[in-house]
Amino acid sequence: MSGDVVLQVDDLRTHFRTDGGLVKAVDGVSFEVRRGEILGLVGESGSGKSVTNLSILRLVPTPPGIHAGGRILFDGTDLLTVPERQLRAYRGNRIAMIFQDPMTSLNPYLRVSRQLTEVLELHEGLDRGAARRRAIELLEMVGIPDPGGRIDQYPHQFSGGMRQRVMIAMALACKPELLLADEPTTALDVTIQAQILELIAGLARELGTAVILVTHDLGVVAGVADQVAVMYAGRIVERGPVDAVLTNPQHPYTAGLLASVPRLDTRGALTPIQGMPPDLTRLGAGCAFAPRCPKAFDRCATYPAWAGTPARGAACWLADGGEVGR
Amino acid sequence: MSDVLLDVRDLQVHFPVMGKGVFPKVTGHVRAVDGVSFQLRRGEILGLVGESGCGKSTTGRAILRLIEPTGGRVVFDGQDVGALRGEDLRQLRRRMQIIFQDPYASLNPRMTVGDIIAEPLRAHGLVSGRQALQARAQELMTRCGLDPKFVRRYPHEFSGGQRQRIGIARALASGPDLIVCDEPISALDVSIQAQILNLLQRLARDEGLSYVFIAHDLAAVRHLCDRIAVMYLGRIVELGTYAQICDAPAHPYTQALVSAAPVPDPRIERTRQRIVLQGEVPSPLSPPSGCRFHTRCPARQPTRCHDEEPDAREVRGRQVACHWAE
Repeated sequence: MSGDVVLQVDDLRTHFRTDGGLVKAVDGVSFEVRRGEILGLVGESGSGKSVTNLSILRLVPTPPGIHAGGRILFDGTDLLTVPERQLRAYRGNRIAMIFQDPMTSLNPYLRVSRQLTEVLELHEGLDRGAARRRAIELLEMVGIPDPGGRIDQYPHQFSGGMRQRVMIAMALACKPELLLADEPTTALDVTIQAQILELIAGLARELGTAVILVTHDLGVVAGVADQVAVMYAGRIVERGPVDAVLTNPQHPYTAGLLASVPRLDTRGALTPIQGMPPDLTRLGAGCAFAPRCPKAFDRCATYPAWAGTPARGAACWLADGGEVGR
Repeated sequence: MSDVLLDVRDLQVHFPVMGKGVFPKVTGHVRAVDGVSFQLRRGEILGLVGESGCGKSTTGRAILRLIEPTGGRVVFDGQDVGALRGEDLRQLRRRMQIIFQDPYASLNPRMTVGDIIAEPLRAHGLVSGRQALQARAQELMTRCGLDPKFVRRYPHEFSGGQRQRIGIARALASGPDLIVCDEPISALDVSIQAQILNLLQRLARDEGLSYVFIAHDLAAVRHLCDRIAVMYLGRIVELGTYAQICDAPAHPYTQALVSAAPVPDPRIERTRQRIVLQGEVPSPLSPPSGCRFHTRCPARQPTRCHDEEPDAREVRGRQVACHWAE
């Protein structure tokens, strides 16, 4: 592992005030992403993976959200404390974001051409004609056939996969250093998913973009990610290179997830994780996974210390830190 | 008693498309299901897979006549479903049930769980008396892994996985022979999907049920199903055992689908040859001439694929609708 750190997240805490009590959606998350690297942020609904991504661009509405602590360093500046004005210069320019649902994230009233050229005129200072030419280039780059003809259409005239390509073209418009992708292929069919993932991987490889890929799909992570962080109940419970985490999981939750996914290449018994994800308003002081964990014992009443290095390890009393500790 | 429980012959569901204006006229038809034939044996689980818009859900609903077929025949246990009226159809529906994808939308929020599960028993007059209905509902809850003491609770008090169990209990209530499972796990968290798959598998084994299991996740289908039918644009392109379809697919579309489905192991992912299909699924309003897949097929050959629609034929022990597969 080499290269420059593009984004460093330190002890991030994003909480929500709700009627049911304080929800610690993200509670002490730390990681870094390097140039050209794809970090898979894995977890189930409510694990805090999407809120982590939204917090990076300060897109969590406050209230009900509270930035309860931590730092997010991008190019030496803490994104959590910079003035809104400066952050706006980053959004869509040096840091881009794509969402799960491409229909609700494109403006249905505007032609695709306008949505693409807006970014280019605003951040790159191109004039109308140049912006349009560049927009057509971008659509071609993401594999939209007949880009010159389709650029003047409205989002509803595009299929789901094509809309996601338009979103990616918008994200690429300013050659971002960091791309935040939140379940970008979840709403798409598998054959289209393969095309979109290939596009994102190519972006990291060729433009050196650092990517944070939020997903619940371990198969997607295995296919494109370099590094993985597994989240459970607002914290990272395991971290490491994709091969190490998926083939030698240190945390019982990661192991449980792997044992519960049906696989295309074999047909074995599935071992589901018992119970269900915890209620975030009622987390105790111990390991949040302990009530579902087949290996839980009395020490789990205290939150486990991190075993291993920041780059490879797990938050479990039984973990030996993987390759490092053994 | 014949071994075949369900015989679907040349099933067609065409939806009329209306033009604009005050007195709209029919301007065309969406050929959602366009000549689907298969047989389901007693106790068998048949997977129906394909991408969005291929007609798999419409096929499932047309079998139960929740959507009226516009052509073809559905024969259930020797009876022509399309010819039944009134009381006879009601009697048949007792033996054919459905589980829906969305565990939130498919349960009446104003009914208690006990009433939801007992509804088919009451509707078909199988059990009468409030006490008896509740007792039967509690027994079904236990069979589906729900705590029977929650019988008086409302759907919103349950998680997604538990709601899906409620939907399954309701489907079991009338003692069916066939259950159409319409994407029953795709709205659930990864750790919960395995619980539901295992439950469906156990119920099928213990009660001798037959399923038509509709899904887009090939790995889940492989795990559960005895045979798999792959659909593309309203037609079955390949039908064979799970091993034939997943390990040695013969139709170029099945090959692409299998190659695109990710496997949660980075070492395997790196060695896999991915067939990335070009373009998008054409509109079922005007499916391509000849073979419907020819516009995206990597193995198409001039003129014949464009001109002549392939009939299903036997290739390596399974049914394949391709001119060239061998």
